[in-house]
Amino acid sequence: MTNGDTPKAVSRRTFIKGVIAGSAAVASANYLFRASTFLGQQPQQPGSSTRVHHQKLQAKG
Amino acid sequence: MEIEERCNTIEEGYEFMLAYAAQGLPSDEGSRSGGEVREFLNRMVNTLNGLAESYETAVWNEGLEPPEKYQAFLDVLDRDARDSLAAIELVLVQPAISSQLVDNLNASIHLRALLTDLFLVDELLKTQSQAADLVAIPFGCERLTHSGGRTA
Repeated sequence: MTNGDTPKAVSRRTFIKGVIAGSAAVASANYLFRASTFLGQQPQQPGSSTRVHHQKLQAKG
Repeated sequence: MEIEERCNTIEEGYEFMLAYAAQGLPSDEGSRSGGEVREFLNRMVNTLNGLAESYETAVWNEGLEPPEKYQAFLDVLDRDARDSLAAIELVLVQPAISSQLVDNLNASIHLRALLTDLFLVDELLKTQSQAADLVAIPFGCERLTHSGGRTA
């Protein structure tokens, strides 16, 4: 049986924690990116501009 | 099987799987690491069977307090071990184990939960033992070093 107190075992655990935490950070970043896209830079849907104009014209009429 | 051995086997297995995933192998056939991947996964399966019970025995033997808090977390560990076991066994029954498949297994939240459970409980056991001013603990992956320099 290996002794878990060896530097190799400790660095292995640190490495694994880094892998797990690193992917979590990426996932969080993706989540934030999606949020900003949705809330701040909402891409125009096809025809959305036309619909807005149409609604304005209807309001004036 | 002792807790230290179980913990090391799981960490070693995950470390190997990370390396295997990075190799871009289409199958476990025809390569040295491909031949080893099933061996590592089988070792992890053997280790996961009875993992929580081993920790439970250690906790009770040490008389750690409060027992209900340890038991609650051991229940979590047991669930995560079972979930991880299901994922690994699913991979093992596949005719070919590719790097991509192992990459997805590595990304499994169940395996990651299990690993972080082990890290947490191992640290707790170590801390408890330090508090009790023990020279060594008979379990845990990271053994204590006596202040005088003696290793466990």
